[in-house]
Amino acid sequence: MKTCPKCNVKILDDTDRCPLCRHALSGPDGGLRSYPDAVGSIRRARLFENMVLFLSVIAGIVALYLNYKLSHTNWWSLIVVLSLFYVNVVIRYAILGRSGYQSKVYGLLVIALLVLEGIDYLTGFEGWALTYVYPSGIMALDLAILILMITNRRNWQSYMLPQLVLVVLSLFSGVFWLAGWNRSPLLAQISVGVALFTFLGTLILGDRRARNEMNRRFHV
Amino acid sequence: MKRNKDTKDHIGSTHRYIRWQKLDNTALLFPAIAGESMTNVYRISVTLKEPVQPKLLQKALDMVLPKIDGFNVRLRAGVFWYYFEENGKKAPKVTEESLFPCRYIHANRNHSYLFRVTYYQCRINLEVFHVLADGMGGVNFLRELTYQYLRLAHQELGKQCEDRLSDETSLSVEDSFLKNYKAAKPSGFEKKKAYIIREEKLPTGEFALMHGYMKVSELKEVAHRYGVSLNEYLVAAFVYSVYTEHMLRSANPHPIRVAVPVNLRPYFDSDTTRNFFIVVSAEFVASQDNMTFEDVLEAVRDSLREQIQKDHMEDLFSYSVSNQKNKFLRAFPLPLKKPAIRIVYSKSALANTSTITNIGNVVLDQRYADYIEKFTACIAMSKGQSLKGTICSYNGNLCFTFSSVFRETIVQKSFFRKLAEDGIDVSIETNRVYY
Repeated sequence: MKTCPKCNVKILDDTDRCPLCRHALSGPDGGLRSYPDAVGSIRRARLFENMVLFLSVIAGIVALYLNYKLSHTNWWSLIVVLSLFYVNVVIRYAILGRSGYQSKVYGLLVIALLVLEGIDYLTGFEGWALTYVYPSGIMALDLAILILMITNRRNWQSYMLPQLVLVVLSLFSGVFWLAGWNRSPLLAQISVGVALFTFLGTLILGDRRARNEMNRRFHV
Repeated sequence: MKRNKDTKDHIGSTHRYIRWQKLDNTALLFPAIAGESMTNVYRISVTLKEPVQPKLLQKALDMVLPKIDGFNVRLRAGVFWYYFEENGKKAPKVTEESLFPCRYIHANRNHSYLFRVTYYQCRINLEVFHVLADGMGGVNFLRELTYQYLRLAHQELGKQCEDRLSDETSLSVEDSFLKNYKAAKPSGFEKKKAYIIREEKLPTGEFALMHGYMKVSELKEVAHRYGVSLNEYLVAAFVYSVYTEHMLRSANPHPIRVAVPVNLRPYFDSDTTRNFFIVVSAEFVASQDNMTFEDVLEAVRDSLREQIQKDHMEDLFSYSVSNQKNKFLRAFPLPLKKPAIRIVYSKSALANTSTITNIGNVVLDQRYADYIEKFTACIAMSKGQSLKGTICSYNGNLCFTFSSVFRETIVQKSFFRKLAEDGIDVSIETNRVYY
């Protein structure tokens, strides 16, 4: 076992310098390696993330520069920037991120909706994002939840609160229509119906287990 | 845990009760503030005298987990509060340790369990999200897991001992805060800003450990010489190290304040495996230059002894429980409560320079003790506190573990040199971040 003559402590690690004062150690060779090399793995993951970010920043700046040089009326480069932003979100949040699959599904869909809304705004704000994409997104989430309920039958009741949240979110379509941002209420009405009926179906067919889930979720 | 009355499912293929329970008063805080940078995860490790066999460890976990209600849960978000629900999924996968300790435990991963079990060479690590249990609950679980593993790995032990939980293991999941709460008291928590240690940090995600091993008998002798307890001596040595290395032995208006969690079970006759602790503070104000270790020790001793009184600690947690029971606050939806909790926590977090927690002395059944080398423990970083200490002892040996995200070991050097200077034989082991 090695000793640090300056600190007057024994060093159990397989090293030749003191971790406290960096002084050379005295004593026979041989020590422990009782922890894995975690530094290497974390630095490799971070390098990949940073490489993607770096390439995205370059691509975004090049697109903005070309757009500026070629046209001052049509800002197509901002769509490229938004798309690159989404690619980075997917890599950092969905692929490398450690959050759960539910959070990833919902998170990615919400961010996708926001990105598409941004693209709608950049392309003349014709309202297609709120008219078609938003209610379609609500229905896609409803479908995703139904699939998750079937896949995870053991805990089907745990998806009831997300269903209820979708009912509330679908009602926002009506707000958008009243505000004049939504060009046609049909798809919005369908999305409200789908969200409401799937929730009510789960509540009624789920019987006591569904009601108990609601009791738990709403305990004050 | 509350038991649901549903006996038959109309949807789904399983027919099972879903038991659930509210979080204890301390646990309410953790899901609201926890994240990748402040994980609120602690680790307790046991090092065996032989290499760990992963398949047997997995089998042991599969056998033990269903018996321990407090760990067989998942965290759910309600509209107003988080709560625990019976998990019932397969036990989380035991993996070889390959990353840094005390990483965040996502509620929806790891089969929705709020703890993880890893191994490395001869060591079994249990990492626990603090929402589940404090150190006592963690030690209970790790002890049972280790016993079961040893029974599987050694036939002679398996013949001697039955595959059941040991007599000393409590299964109580009582909320002892609520049970012992008295009428609302004014806040006794320190809110004034403490001295914050500032140093260059390690790259994001890296986490340094430094274990210092020493004999309990030597420590006791030195602490006795100074007329203090072992805990007071170690906390004072830490405070003195901050004073000498960071304040450079100069007067400073900001106190060095070390949060010291105190196990409340002995004071309130509780054996719950959930959280039941309160944090008191050891405080030292450098009122003049060149203060001595004895000055620091006196301040630390006096502040701890003044606060570690049953009535005072009861006042502290009663204040927290009164907030939890406040009807107006309860009615706020969780998405509004969370940022409010974060703001309150952020303010109070800066009231402490660091935290030193003592897991206590781990006692094992003698039949298993022969297979076990040592226990160690560490805690994760929190806002404003990038260097913390954890004390754990077993079989006459004590391990003081520094967990840190600082690149340098300035405080650690001063701390261990002080101990060595006082005649304590110290051996150091690290997770190699400093090389």
